[in-house]
Amino acid sequence: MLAFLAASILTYIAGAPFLEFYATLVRRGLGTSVGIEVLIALTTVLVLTGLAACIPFSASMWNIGGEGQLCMGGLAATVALVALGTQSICVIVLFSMIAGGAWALIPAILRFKFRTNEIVSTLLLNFVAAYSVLYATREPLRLPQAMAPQSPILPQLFFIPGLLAVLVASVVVSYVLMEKTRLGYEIQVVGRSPRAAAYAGISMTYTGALAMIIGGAFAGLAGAIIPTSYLMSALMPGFSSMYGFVGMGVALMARLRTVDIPLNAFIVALLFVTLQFLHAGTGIPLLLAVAVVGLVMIVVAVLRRK
Amino acid sequence: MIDLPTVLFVAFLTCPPIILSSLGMNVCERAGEYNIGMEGVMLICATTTYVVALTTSNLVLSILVGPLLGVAFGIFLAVLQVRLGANQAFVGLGIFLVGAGIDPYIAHFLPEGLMGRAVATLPRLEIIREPYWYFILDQNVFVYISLAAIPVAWLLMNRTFFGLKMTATGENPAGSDVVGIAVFKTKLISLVVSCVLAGFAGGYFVYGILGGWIVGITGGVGFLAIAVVRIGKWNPLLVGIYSVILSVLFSFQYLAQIVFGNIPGEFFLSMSYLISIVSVVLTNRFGKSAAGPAALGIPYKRE
Repeated sequence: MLAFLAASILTYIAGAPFLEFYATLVRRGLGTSVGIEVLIALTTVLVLTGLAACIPFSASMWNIGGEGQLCMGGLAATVALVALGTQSICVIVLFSMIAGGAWALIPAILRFKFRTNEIVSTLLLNFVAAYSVLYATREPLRLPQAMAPQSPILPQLFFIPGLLAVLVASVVVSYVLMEKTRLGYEIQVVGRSPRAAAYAGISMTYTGALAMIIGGAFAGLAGAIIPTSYLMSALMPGFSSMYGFVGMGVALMARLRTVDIPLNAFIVALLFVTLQFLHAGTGIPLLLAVAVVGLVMIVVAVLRRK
Repeated sequence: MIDLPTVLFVAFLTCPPIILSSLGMNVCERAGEYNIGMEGVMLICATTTYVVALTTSNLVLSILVGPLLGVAFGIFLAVLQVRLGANQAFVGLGIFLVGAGIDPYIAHFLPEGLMGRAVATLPRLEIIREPYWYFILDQNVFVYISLAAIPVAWLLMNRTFFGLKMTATGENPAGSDVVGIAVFKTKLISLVVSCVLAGFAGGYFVYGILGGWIVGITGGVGFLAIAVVRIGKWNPLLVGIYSVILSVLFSFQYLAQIVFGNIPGEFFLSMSYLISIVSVVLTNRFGKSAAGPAALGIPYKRE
């Protein structure tokens, strides 16, 4: 996997001197405290969105709505912070996870009650969620003196220890869930062989919906972390640089194994952070990192075929 | 002042991308291939069209560059999805991410000062400039071509031998192979046609609608196409008609904002996506045979 990423970074040469990329990576990304802070925050976010893709994918629920679930989580967290005036991390975490999970429940209901392809519904719900954030930051939650739509400045709730705690907790919880519990086993059976699941009396509906809700809750938490950590100081439209979609790349690179997600998330986060520093110097667009992840996804999809 | 003819004018002006991308999606899904990356293809084509339009100031050339890229994408997709049998959802998402990520990157290469400059748009035909009916009779030639493409697509898919072969590979690739249909070739052509239509659709945003370029110019139309094809049950006539309806719905937000002043625009934008989801649900619930091509999304491997 590392090799693919290294190879895909080569595509990057077109924009800047080749070695400068690695120089920036080592000196700024790993060598400065800002770099480390952003790196850890971003790794946490990508671990969460990676899990948001990984767990439903394992149940063959193609949750392409991580981006939307993330937006709703961020929105719920901001509402809790601004409107309810709470400062408690627990409340924020709870709010965002419920919002993300609820948003993921919609496509699950549509799939099992109305036989509607979840790829379509999750994709389109992303747009509904993005417009909700745009609306919220333009009208009710707007910071009046700001030029562009954005919410009031949010307090920073997640520092390095908190982020690491979330990271470790989410990986441990999902590992135990997927490998050591009955539900995780059922999710994998449903994903690998629906027919075997049916013979074994495992409910497709129940298992698939739960996988979606758990995934959505992780994505929602990621949405709460972005505006309250080192990444951003307020909720604004496009506050997620497609992290929900990138999470799918992370999950795929980790071959849908929860334990491999942190490493892959870290690599992708490093790519993002390095590009962020390069962006400041050369103006090379930040979204290029997304394109690199896309390329890796295509390569992995080809290599992983049955 | 925004009145009904103006809204309909905007609706018809902006309908070609939705029609063309939905028909393109219809073509490849009939052949059993997803094209989830269509949004990405459209984005790349739109940006390249803009760059070509800026650097050459040649309208014909900039119209042609999108479909040419589309051919390349079609072949690429066919090799990955059909020949190599890669997971079609992942390939599609990868292409979407590449498209979304590369789109500001291409613009980065433009010479200083050219960025953001307006480019030529298609001239209107001016059949009639009368204040009411102008909404349909004073459009550019692309609008008429895409409207005409709906019945043509239906004829090609349902009344020609190739259309039949395409449907056969989408329903039962193994059986088609046995009776002597070249499965790879058929799917390849369907994917190329699909991506060429996406190329036109993406480019039209530049030379048909905006006369300029913004990041994320296609705004999810390539994804809506996936829903539209399901609402139209893979029948090009229904798909085309629904695309036009959707385009009208999109445009109605301008009128509705004036009529119900205090409802925010985002509400209507969201509504277009929600209505699409609900329509898919309703089609599945009450439609007679809602099932699509039987082998949709399943890589075919000769035994």
